Amino acid sequence: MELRTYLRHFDYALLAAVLGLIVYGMIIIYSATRSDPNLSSPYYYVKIQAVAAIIGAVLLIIFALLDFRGLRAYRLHMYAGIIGFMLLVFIVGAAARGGQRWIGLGFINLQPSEIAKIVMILVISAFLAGRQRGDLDSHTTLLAIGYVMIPALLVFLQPDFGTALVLVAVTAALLFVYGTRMLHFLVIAVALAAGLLLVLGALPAIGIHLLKSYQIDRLLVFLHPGNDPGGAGFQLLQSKIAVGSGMLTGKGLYHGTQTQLNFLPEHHTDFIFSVLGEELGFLGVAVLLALYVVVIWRGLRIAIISESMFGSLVAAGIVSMLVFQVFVNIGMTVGIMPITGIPLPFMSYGGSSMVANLIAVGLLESVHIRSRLIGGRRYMRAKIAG
Amino acid sequence: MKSLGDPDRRIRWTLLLFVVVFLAIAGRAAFLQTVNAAEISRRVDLRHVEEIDTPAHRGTIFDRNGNELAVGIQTQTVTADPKLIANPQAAADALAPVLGLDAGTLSGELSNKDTGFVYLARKVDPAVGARVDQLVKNEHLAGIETRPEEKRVYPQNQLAAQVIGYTGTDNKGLAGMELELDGVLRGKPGRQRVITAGDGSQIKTVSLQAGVPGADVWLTIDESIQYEAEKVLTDTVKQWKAAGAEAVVMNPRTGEIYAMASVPTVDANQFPNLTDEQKRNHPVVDAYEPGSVFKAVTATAALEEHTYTPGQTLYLPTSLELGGYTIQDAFSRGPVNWDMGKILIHSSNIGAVKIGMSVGAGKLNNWIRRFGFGSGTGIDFPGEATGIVLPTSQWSASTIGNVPIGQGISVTPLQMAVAYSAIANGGVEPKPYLVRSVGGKDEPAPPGKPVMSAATASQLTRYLVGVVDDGGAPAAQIDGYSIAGKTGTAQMVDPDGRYSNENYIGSFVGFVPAADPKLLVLVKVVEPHPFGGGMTVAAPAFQKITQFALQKLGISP
Repeated sequence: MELRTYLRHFDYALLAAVLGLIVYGMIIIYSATRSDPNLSSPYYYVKIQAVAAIIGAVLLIIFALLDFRGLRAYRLHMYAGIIGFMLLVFIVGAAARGGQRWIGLGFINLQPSEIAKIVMILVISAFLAGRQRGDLDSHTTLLAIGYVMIPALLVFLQPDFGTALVLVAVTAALLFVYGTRMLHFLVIAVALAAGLLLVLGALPAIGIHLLKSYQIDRLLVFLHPGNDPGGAGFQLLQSKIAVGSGMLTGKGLYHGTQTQLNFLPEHHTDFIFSVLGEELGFLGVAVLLALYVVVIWRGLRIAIISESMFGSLVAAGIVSMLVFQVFVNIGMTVGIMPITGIPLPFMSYGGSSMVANLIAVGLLESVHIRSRLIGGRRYMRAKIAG
Repeated sequence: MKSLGDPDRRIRWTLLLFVVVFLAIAGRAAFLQTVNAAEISRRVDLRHVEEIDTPAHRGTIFDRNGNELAVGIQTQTVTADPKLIANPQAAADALAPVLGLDAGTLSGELSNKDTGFVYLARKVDPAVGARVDQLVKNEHLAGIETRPEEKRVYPQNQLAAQVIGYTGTDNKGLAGMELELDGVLRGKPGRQRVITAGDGSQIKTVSLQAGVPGADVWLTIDESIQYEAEKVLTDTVKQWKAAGAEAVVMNPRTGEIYAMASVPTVDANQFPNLTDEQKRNHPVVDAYEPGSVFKAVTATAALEEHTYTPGQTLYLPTSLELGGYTIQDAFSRGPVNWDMGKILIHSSNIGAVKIGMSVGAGKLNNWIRRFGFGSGTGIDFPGEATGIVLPTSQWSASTIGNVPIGQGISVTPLQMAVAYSAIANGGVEPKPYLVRSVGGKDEPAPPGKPVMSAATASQLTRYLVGVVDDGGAPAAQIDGYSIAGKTGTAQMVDPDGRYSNENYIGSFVGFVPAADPKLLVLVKVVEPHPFGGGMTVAAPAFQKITQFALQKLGISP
């Protein structure tokens, strides 16, 4: 098939929204880091982010052109591969911020947990799509949960609580779209609540700490940020002050005092939304959310028009992953969600996240292109028959 | 019919969930950015950002052997911004016991809303600073801050205090070597941006510019020789109920100053409380009429101008009339025929005047200036005095009877020591200096200046050895060493402008070993009571200081 045919069937609205987010993000990263006295150039982070975006764009096109359906056959390979990869992190991973999340590939640090999100969407989707239609027994639900628990535990131990949450949330979304009975969800919810109570309350009380203390602080501080304004609550307080003081139209790009004076921690990574909120105000926030709405709308549309259950699940999983990260990240910066260190998709500085998210968009495009091609054939057959 | 479990329906439910999620985020952001914005902006205003200089560490001053003479130690300074202090009385009550200040006074200072900055306590012990920090944190005392500040400390107290000088409260050198070397000791301050929360706690400190610490300095001063000189002078002052005493100990070859003492000594840590007189490094900054020690200068002029030939004797009457004044020697004698050696041994005024007259006023004055009298030696110390050398146009008929014997002229002890160094150093006058190395880099010895021929220098040395050996100053002798030196006894000028009959300055300057001089010591004793000349008062002190320095420096005979 000709390349032109593929190109005709790209979802350009989706691409435009993603491109808009990336450019938007680079502007904010520039504003947040330009006056960092430790940088050799004010464009230091922007340049690295641009390189990651270009690498991601190439992979996006490759994955869009590949037939995503071919990946179904390799679900067990992918699954074994990602688990092996994550185990490798424990062995050779470089320590960063109290955790082992990175793997050095010489010129670039790769974060396997970012890849794990994509791989697990494919693996669970392939598993569910392979079940007999209407096979809604608890066996399927439990197996899906079992599949995700191993990588989720591994990232949790890295420790990367945020990514573990994303994996669980995405699996829940996939099960939901697949059609799992509401009763199963109820049971899962109760089990999760009990587990949370155990990890945060009961086990620490008897001396077992599954979470590091800074993680618990960060998780719970959003409920009472004033309790500890010098420590974990500081980030949250500063972030809320940043967003709030932006008001309707913001203080202007490069003029956010919170950002420029370094009140805001990690302002080019996890807290980039606060920078945007402070400097561009609610209008800037509205533009950002509108861009995400376009991505979600196009993504769920792709899920619906997909001819196969696998395609629908992959598309819905990817959109759920993006939405969950947007929600948790922004929710964290405005004080309605715990601080978990989840990056804002396409916006936060970070190469692994950028590349992984663009691969995800590539998969969405692939699903889109396949549906359009099949749809196109059907349309032609109907014409001939008519 | 599509069931509840149909994927398409489920995707639409998902979309609905996502819409709810986004509405929640957007709603929360809108709440923060509109309804809540005023409250948040107020919180932003409560914090403040200031850029402060962080003073660089001031370099240490060492003696030539690495003993600390002046060091900077870390202290804390407590400051306040009264505009940020909500309850001055409460803050004052909390701080007063910690700082050891009166709560009432403190409360007054903290209530002054006209200023945004006031010092509460400067350079307090770091432990006190830590307690203040703790108080600020516990009691939420917004507006009270501590910052590190260095305090200059002189661990040897009185040792070479007038040479080292001192620094002001802002650690800027104000006198002595602290002033001379301020540029290298001071370093470059760094700059910090300090962000303070509404409750006074520091949120964040960003270093904008790293400071450069000041360089350490090694002086030429030898701590133990300096100590010995001060001790000997103090004993001498006590023994003779003198007003004061001074000494210069130096290397006549290189110009290095080993010691420079002014007694009474003062505590360098008490400098701000001293009078200007007490702070003065007399040997450099104050001139006096030298008296007979100056006769060596007159002798140099005659030898160099060949108006006197070694071996030649001069007829010396019992007294000499000049311009209406009668010149006499300090002791009674009949008319004699003496050579220059004898004239110096007995310190004959008439002999020195006759030698000076043989040179003539103009040439004699040129020789005096050639030694550097009337202009500074160029030592690396601030505020050096030049002394007074009158131009011959201002000389009266009697002046030629004064100047050759060291009257009607004023010189600093350092100038005198340097002039004798020229004799010791084969005719080349060294430039005296106090800084041995800066920042670990040795300062090269400044080049000397040829003043007289080597022949004249060695001829004079022979005469000066005779002074010490043949009765001129027996108290200066040291077993085994051949010493060249000269006494001086000068009448001081009373407040009415006449020469005093009671107040004298007795001095002695000498170098050793005469054959290869490595050490030169000058001692000056002011107003000894009862009267004693240089031979009696200064020569014993010279002998003690020299003996110690010879041992300390390991100079063999």
